[in-house]
Amino acid sequence: MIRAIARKEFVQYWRDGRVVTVFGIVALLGLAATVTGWSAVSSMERERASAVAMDREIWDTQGLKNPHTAAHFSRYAFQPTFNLAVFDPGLTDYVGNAIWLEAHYRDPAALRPVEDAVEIQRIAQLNPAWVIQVFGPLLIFILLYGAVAAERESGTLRQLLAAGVRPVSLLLGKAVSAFSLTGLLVCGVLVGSAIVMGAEGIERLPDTGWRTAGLAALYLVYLAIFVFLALGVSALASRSRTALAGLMGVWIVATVLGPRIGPEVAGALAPAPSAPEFAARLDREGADPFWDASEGAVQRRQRVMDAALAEYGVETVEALPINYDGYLLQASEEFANGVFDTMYAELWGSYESQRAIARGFALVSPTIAAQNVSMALAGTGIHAYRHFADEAEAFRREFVLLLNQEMIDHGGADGYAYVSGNDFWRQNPDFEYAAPGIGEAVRGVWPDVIILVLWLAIAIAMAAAGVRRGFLGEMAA
Amino acid sequence: MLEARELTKSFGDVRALNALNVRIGAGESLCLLGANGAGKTTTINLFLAFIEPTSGSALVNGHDVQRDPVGSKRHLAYIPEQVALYPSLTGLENLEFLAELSGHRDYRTAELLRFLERAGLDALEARRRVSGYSKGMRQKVAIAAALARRASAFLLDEPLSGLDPAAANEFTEVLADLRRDGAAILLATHDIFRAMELGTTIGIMKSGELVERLDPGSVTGAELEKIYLESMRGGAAGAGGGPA
Repeated sequence: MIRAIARKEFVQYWRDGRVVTVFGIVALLGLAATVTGWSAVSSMERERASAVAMDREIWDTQGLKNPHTAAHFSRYAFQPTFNLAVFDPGLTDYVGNAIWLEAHYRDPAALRPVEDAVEIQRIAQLNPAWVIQVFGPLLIFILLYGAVAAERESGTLRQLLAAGVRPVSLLLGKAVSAFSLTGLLVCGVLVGSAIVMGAEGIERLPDTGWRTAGLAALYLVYLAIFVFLALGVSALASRSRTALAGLMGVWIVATVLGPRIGPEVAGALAPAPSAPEFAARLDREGADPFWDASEGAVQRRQRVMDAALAEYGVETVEALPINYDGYLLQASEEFANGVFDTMYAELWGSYESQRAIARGFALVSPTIAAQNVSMALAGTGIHAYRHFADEAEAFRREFVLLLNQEMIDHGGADGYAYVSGNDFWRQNPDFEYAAPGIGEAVRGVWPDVIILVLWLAIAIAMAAAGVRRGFLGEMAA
Repeated sequence: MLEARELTKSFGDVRALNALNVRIGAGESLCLLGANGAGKTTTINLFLAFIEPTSGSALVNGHDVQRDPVGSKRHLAYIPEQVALYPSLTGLENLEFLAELSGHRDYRTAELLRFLERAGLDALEARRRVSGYSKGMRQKVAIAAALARRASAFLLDEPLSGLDPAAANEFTEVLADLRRDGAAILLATHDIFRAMELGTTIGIMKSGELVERLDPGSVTGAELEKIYLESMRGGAAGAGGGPA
């Protein structure tokens, strides 16, 4: 019975010009978004490869230079734009994919593609995930607004009842047909993305297969929510036009307003420091308390000197068998690292607070929860960025230590006059980023997964109650 | 077989049907006449289990419609005044869908076309979309659906109203064929002439009660009309009484 209902629905969809047109438009958008995503990721990866090579070349050929001066000159940590960013670029365009690794300072990421975009590009940044998130529900609502209401209006519902059709069969038959059609769209977009993701020059995320399966499951659940919501509204509405109006309201709130208002409200309620403000504070609190003329700074430097003298069992700095300037610089580095840890913990904390508030809006917009899970699976969310930033910072600390150690060990009494050459620079390692596996990637989005499952349960319950009520109402008519 | 046992339905203080007792066996047809609100459609809705009886029971082929709605509908066909079909599907596709709903997924196209042909719709018409069908053609699809599901009990609610005379005649002939083939038919109608033609028993309903049971062979059309009008005005004439 379910199969018969689903098949009949398919034939009706096929013959309904509006459905074919809307499906065609959404499919074209998905295709355009996939091509756009591939083009953007390929371009970013080409630029990254070129920048990585240039960075290495400049470092290796910088000539004679004090190692600590070189640490200020330093290098970049580049984050690959991984394959799944074709499907969901998430925050890629906004958080930047390169971090300058300099001494005494933890830089935020730079090279944000959105900075190079002209205004219209910022508005029209298409990606396959966004097409599914926004147009998938719209397509479902167009397919299903009349699912029960139109059957009631035309009188066919009464005849289905007379033929012994049970509410659950009608519900599932309609759900299967709409779900299959929109599921086809999801699978098509994912397959299209998977094909272009395999293009040469695009790096694979670890667990790409599992992540892709996760994305497929996520979007099928996401669309199922809207399928059942549509069936519920159609069953409860007195007329199909009323159902359509109601569903358009749901669509606007869920996919358009919710994802925009949520972060705005979160930003207002839990403001993160502005970038210039944060950068100035990093500079001020990371360096000044060690280097300025304040009593605290003088005492800190004195403690470092006392420790060095004690460590090497000598009475004066001049008697030290090491380059003391390098030693002091490394000590200041370690002091600043503690400050950076505290300040970045506060910064990440403010982002988490914002996410928690924005997540509250997922109660009226499952799109918000779906976006969070999608970005996490695609490795383009805030946690992926944080992982990269933390890895880059760990490398920066090792790299600066390496340079300071060169000065400490070989600089002797030369102080800042000590220089290293290209032979040394060429031995220095590159930053090589290893993205986390799927387990770590989704660790921060379990609340979003739970919200989506709750949405699905509520939507199914609503559809079941609506169809049952719609049947009972029709029988009593 | 269709059977009502003390079948009663009240809506609040209004008694829409009062202790109806009828039994329509194979090859029999009961044509219910009565004004609007007399209880004809309520009777049909009770047989369809669309509404619950206040008391009593309705049975289709021995299945209590409330206790076993699925079993009771398995061989039950319902043809309303306006047969609703899916306009973007052809008559044949509508029939195929309706047959599948009743569990008959194995019909071939030729078999479905034969059902339609038997109901009076030729193959060319059957392959046209229903959006261009007349009311009579839609009813033929409904009859074909009943044939396809091997219905042995028919509930028809004013199926003849709005049909042109030729279509009404054709439809009546199809129903007469079904009855001769052993179908049990309950037909609610305002059409005295067609009731005479089709019924093995004619019932007159008023205010939820079956006030007259007539054998159409024992009265003329004019007499039936007179009895009907008198019963509508007040008292029942009591001119006959066939088993129903």
